Parts: sequence; structure tokens; C-alpha cells
Amino acid sequence: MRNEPSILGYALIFCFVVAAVLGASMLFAGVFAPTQSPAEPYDATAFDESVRSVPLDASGDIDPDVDAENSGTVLIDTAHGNQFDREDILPLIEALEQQNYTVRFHSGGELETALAAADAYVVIGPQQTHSVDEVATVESFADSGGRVMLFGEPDRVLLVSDGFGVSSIRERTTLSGLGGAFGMTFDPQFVYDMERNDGGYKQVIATPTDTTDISSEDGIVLSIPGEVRSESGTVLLESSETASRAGAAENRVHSLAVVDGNVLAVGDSSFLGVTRYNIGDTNEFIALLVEFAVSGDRETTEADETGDTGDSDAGDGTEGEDGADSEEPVPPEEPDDPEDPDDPEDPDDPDDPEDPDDPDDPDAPPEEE
Amino acid sequence: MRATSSFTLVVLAALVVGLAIAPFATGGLSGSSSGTVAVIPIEGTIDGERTATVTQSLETARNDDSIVAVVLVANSGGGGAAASEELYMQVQRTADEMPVVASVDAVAASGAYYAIAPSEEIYVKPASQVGSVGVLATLPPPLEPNEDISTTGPAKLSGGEQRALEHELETLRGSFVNAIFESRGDRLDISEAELSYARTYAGHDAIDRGLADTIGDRQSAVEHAATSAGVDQYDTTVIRGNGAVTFVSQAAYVSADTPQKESISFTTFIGNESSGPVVLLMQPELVTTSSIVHNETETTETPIVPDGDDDA
Repeated sequence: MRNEPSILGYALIFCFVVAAVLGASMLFAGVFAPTQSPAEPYDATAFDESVRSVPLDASGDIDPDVDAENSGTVLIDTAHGNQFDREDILPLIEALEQQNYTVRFHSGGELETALAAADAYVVIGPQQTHSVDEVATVESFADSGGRVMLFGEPDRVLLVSDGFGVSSIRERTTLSGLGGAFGMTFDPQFVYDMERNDGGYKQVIATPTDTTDISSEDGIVLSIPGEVRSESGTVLLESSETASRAGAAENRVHSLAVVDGNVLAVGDSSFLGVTRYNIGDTNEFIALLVEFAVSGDRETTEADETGDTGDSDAGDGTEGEDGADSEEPVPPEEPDDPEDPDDPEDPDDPDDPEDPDDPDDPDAPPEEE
Repeated sequence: MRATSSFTLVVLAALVVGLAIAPFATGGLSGSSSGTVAVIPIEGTIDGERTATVTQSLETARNDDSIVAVVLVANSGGGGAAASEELYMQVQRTADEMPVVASVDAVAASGAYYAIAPSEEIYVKPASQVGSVGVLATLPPPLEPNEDISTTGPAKLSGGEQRALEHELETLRGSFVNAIFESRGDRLDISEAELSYARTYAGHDAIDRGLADTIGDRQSAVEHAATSAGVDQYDTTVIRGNGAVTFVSQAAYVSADTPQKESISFTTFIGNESSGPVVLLMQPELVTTSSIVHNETETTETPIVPDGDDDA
């Protein structure tokens, strides 16, 4: 005879089955249900607007305060492997021409002859030194009231692949001789500023000193400048005290532009370019440069009036008065590599179309007597 | 038979009750809590694939109730900017939910340091390198005007003017620095300007400046994480994605314990003929002279032309 479960037994069985079913259901739901629920929105406080780098305004014009009746000639050196192209200094050229000054480029020949016709001599980033005679000529030019403007650059490193591997080349401007003649030195190390800059530590915001009469709120922006010092001159531009010199640990004020009599020196030339000339109040400093260039008191000679200025070209794209083709007044800015067989400035390169000694070159300057 | 049935019922009932109260009983008897500490490697170059792997691991940790803390084992020289920023955000999101502790092997530089910054404690070894808080980018060469590629805008090929790019990089630097200061707070003993120098610091120097906290090994980090999570007993589980991990940093490659690792060239990041800017958060020594060079014949025309044939 089979005994039937009691009521309690049935109740237990029922509870057990229900529990098993619920457990299985929960397990099934857990396995197949979505595992994620909406999360809280990301709190991006680290990336708020305060971290944005806001460019300085770049809209000013170069408006020098000069006597409109003056005119003259500014000679720009291109005979020493100078590291610039026309567009790199176009705002300066145009500002000078607007003051009725003729801009001419001296690409070779007698510097003394070329300077005889000039009121100002501009040297930008030369990679070949001026000879002793040339330095003496420039000194004499400045002593006679001519204005001299020197634009240096700190050393830069180029990594070059030449088919035999990779090497580094140090680009170096050579203004020590010419600058030294006027008691000015150009530091080969660049100046940077981690705090007062326009788009990175290399874009240094400089402040005009009281000497300049420039009232600047935004400052003058120099791109990778080098320090320039003068033994007896006056500082025109200086960095903030947060600036440093590459390789030095200390922060201090650095002089970035100086003037001493008829000679003015700046530790940068990049600010003269079309993309940087009016960042902040940079245009006001260029206006000061124009005023300096055209305010000399040098008397030009009879020879000057004939335009006999050696191998010089007008900067307006027209043919120079000496007959030289001036459509390409500015030489290429390739670094001078004496080992490079294709170097256009290699005097020994027979295929160099710009070799001044190449008898087959129709544009070659006349041989000196 | 009736006795057998009754016995069965009693056993079943006892099983149900016993199973139901067992968890409470064992916990109550031992008086301890337990959980799992997830070890998630941030190793190799940080690119989109690596970021996706780590992101998935962090999501797994956040969604697994048994995981009570995360230890990030960092061994990377950084990588892409956006990928590194994504990792920072994911780690910060995880740190909002559970303790996150970092242990640095050979290097946690630039983007990798960015990623571990939200950790509540950063363990380093004396030889570990951390820092390099900065951004680098390849600048687009001037390609316009040309008559070979037709575009609808002057910045289509380059991405924009150099000055605009400089400010964008400066903004990224500001974000990076700000994130480090937000994450490390008062522990930092370094100014924003000094941090922006982007130096790397070895273990003790990093601790002196507050970029790291303690000299210690990986186990120390795990124990710290478990303690911070409030568990007495813990298991560890390593959540690591599949596939080979790639390294540009040789130091990180040598130190890596990942089963599959591969050394790759820096040019993987900047490409061979890229015209637009490539923004990276990588430690500076990864940019070798064989990676970014000036083509001698086009020095003035093409400021940066990468050479892709040489390994970093």
C-alpha cells in the first residue's frame, strides 16, 4: 500500500518547485539581459574653456611716422647666403616703398659701391661672414650717417637625409664679425617663454622699452628669437622675466632688440614675414624699423644719383638700374653646404647657373676691374 | 515508504534553507569581505586599437560586481593624442566608481602618464620614467598651390595654417597639464610651466615632484588597491586583450611581459607622406633622427618629410 504525502509534504514540494522556477528565471534573465545601464555624463572639467590658447589679434597695419617728402634707397644684403625669401620680408619692403624709398638687393660685387647709393643697409640672417673690408665699409657707412639694421637668428638644427643616412646640420647666422664691429653680439641659443607667448613657448611676446615710444598692450611677437646685446646701446625690445635661454635654467629678462647710434640689431627676422608681421603690436615695431631706416642723415654721392651701385637689384621686381635682371631679387635660402655638389652657391660648381664666375651665365655680373 | 518520502522532503527542505542562508552564514562567521582586484595593462603604443582594448577591460571591471578595484600596469611611451585622451577619460570614469591604482614598469610617459593620472596612487620603480607632459606634431609641408590635386579650399591639404596649428597644440598642452593638476592636485610640487617643459623623471625625482607617490612593485599596488576597496581577502584577475602589443619605445619593449610583443617604427604614427598634421603624445626620445628628417633636396620647400625605412 502506497502512503500519500501529507499536506505539509505537498506544500514543501510546491515551494521547492516554485523556488526552482524562480531561480532558473532569474539566472536566465541575468545571462541574457543587457549588462550596462546608462552611466553618468563625463565630467570634463579638465578640458574647460580656460585651457584654450587664444591667438593674439593680427590685423594692424604698418604706419610709420616719417616725413612724406623724404626719399632714398634701402639696400638689402643677399650676398652672404642670407636666409630669407622675398615673402619673408615683404611687409617691410612695402612699408619702405610707401615712404618713397627704393628697396634694392645687393647680391654681389663691391659693397662699397652699392652702399654709396644707399641710405640704409639691411642684413638678414647671413650664413657667410662679411669680409674684413666689408665690415670696414659698413662701419664707414654708419659713421657717415647711414643706417644699419642687422637681423640675426639663433642656431637651428636641420635633420637631413642625404641617401647615406641621416645627419643633423646646424644653421648658423654669422653676424659676429659685423655685429662685433658695433659692439653687438648675437646669442646662438634661442630664447623661449613658457608663460608669455603666442601659440607656444617659441613664439615669444616681447615688450617695447620706453625708448621706443611704442605703447603696446599685446606686445611684439618674435618667433624663436635669440638674445642680442650691445656694449653701449639701448634696449628696444625685451622679453618678460619668465623667459629662458635654451640650455640655461634661470628665467630672466632678455634683450631682443637693441640700438646704438646708427646701428639697430634684432635677434629675429621671422616677424617680418607676411604671416607674422601684425600679430599683436608687431606692426608697430616694424613701423619703428622703417622710421629708423629712413631717418639717417647720410649725404649720398654723385655716383649714387647715377644708380651705380654694383650688382644690385631693385626690389620692386623691375630691372635694376645697373641692368641686372631683378625678377628674382632674393637668392634661394638653401643652407650652404660646402660638400654639396649641387649647391648653387658653390663657387667651384661648373653647372651653377648663378655662379658669378661662370662665363656662360648671361646674368653673371661684370667682372671687377 | 512513507518514512522514505518524509525523509526526502526533509532533506530537500534543508537543502533549500541551507543554500539560502549559506552566504550569510559564511560571511558572518569569517567576519571578512572579499572581492577581486582587476589588473589591466596599459602597455605598448597607444593607438585606437590599444585604447579600445583597455576601454573594454575597464568597462568589464566597472560592470563586474565582484571586481572591487583596478590596478593599471603601465609600460608605454604614449601614442596618439586622441587615443590617450580617451584613455584618460575612461580611467577617470573608472576611478569615480572604484579605487584605481597604477604601477609603472619601465615607462609611463606622455600619453601613458596622461592615462594613469587619475589613479589614486602611482607606484614607480627607481628606474621607471614618468612625465613628458607635452604634445608634438608633424607640421604639414606647404603644398599649395599645385595643379596635381584639386581641392575646394586652401587648407584642405594641410589642415590649416601653421600659427593655427601652434595654438591648437598649445590648447592640447593646456588640457594635458590641467588634467594632471586636476588629478594629482596638492600632491604636485611642480609649477604648470615646469611641468610643461615636458621632461621625463626617474622614480625618485618623479616622487619628489609629486608626479608619482611611492616606490614599490606591482604587488604593492594590488595590495593598496584591495585595502582601498575595503576588502580583506581578494583575488586578482588580469584583463588583457588578445593580439600582439606594439612598442615604439625600446625601453618599454624590453621590459614588457606581455605574451606577444612587437617593436615597430615611429613612422607608423606619422606615416611616410602625410600632408596633414599628426598630433601625438609620445615621449621625445621616440622621435629619432631617422624618423623625422628634412629631405636635403627640398629643405626649404618641405620642412618635415618623414623617412619611413628606418626603425625607431
